[in-house]
Amino acid sequence: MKLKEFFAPKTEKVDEEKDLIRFLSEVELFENLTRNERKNLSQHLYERTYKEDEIVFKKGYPNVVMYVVKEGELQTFLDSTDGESLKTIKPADFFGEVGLFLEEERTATIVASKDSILLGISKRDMNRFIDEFPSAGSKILRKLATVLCTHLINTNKALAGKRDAFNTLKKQLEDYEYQLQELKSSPEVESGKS
Amino acid sequence: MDRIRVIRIVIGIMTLGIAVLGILFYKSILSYLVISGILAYLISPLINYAQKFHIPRALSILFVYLIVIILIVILINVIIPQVKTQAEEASKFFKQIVKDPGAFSLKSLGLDGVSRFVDRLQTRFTFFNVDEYTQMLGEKFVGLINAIPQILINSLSGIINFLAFLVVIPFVCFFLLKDERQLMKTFFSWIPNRYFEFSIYLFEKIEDSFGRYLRSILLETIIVTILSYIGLLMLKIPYALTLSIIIGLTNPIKFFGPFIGFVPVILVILFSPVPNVMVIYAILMSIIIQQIDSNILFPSLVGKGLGMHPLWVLLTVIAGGYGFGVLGLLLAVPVVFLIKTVIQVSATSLRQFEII
Repeated sequence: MKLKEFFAPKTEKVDEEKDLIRFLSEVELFENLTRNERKNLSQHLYERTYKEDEIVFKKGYPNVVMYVVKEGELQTFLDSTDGESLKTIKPADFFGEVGLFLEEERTATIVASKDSILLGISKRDMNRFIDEFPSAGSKILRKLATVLCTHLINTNKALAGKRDAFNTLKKQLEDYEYQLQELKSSPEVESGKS
Repeated sequence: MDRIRVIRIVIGIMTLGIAVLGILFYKSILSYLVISGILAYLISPLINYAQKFHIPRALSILFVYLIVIILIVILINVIIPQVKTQAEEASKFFKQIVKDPGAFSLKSLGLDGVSRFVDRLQTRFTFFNVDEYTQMLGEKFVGLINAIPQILINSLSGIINFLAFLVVIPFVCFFLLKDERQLMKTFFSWIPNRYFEFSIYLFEKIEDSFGRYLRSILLETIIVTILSYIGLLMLKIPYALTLSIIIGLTNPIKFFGPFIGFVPVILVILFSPVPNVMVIYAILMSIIIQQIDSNILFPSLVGKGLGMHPLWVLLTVIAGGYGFGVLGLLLAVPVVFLIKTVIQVSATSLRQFEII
């Protein structure tokens, strides 16, 4: 046996690792990382397989793991899983990032709507990675800030749209009410009543 | 449906059987695995730190090994001769006492206060002969020292075991350190999705409290050893190195450790041919080191502490000593602390994850 093989036995795992490192470059959060940094990060990733309709976590659970979707599709629910899905999560998306910063509980329930493969990284490992590799860490954090800001802007826009719609509805309602009042106070209605 | 259930039960029983057989097969090296696991766990922060500077894990592990080997070589060259001369001197000394009882007695120690005290004791309680007792102690000690070569020869298989131990542990330790993340990934991949987040949570919480405790104890031991070595050198007490290592190793034993570790120091002072060091200074030194340890080292390293009532700790140490001897004294508190942490963390988080 060669010495090198003894210390680093070649297995299928090597190819898997390469795939994983390549995949990480497709994830928005990690796209700026160098290959070496991605390799180091991949050491902390746990690959999990979920079947259709399997729950990843529920609202109210402690924030422990952040996930990146490798394959499949998942749905976000705010209240119960019977209700309408808030958002569909697709490959190369990530979720559970809130836990990196806040000690709060999970704010939504995530359910796999197709058979999915997720890459989980524990909150503590992620924070340690950011501390241990500051340059990679700052890239991830900057990207994360961009993503969160985009979310915020989109939410604001959506909110503004909802507010406009609400205002038009309100105005229409007021108009109808006014018309109704006028109709009530007009003499024909009064005479009809009597 | 029933068929599936039967198949499941059969497969379950088979898995259990294989697990039991596996444990039986690897039983004899289980202790090696545990020890290498603990060692790897203690070294691991160093290797992770080196990885920060893009040093390959294997390389940094080998580097740590090199340092450890150098340390061991130095220790062997310094300690073994010391212990050997100490044993030889003590043996010669006691043999002479046995031959000529008049040559040694507590009264001849040169400590005026002690000898006066002994005199007084003997005039009051005529049945209580201090010298006779010391002589008996001396005889037992000689017997023990003479028996050492015999013990070594008798336990030849023990020595072979010990050599295997020395060869196997570094190897296992190496791979545990090198493939640390890989092993963790494999371990967590066995856990079903339902319990995955819970198990990570549990593991991290336990590591935060127990792991920190274990690493701090090691650091504390090293610092106490160095401090007492300096103290013993300053007091010019012979065999300072051996004695300080004993003090350091017994220090993690709660409550009793410092006393047990200090017994050899007192013995060396009392039984040295020329007891030129005052016992009181040595006791003072011990008290100072203990104060530094309990007021500065322990709070800053271990942090909040164990969160166990002192009485509980005391009872645990005593029970451990009764049940498992010296090893029990040393390990009882950490093991009980580990179990306590597991129960405590599971109790809250099992409910949070809606498992119970």
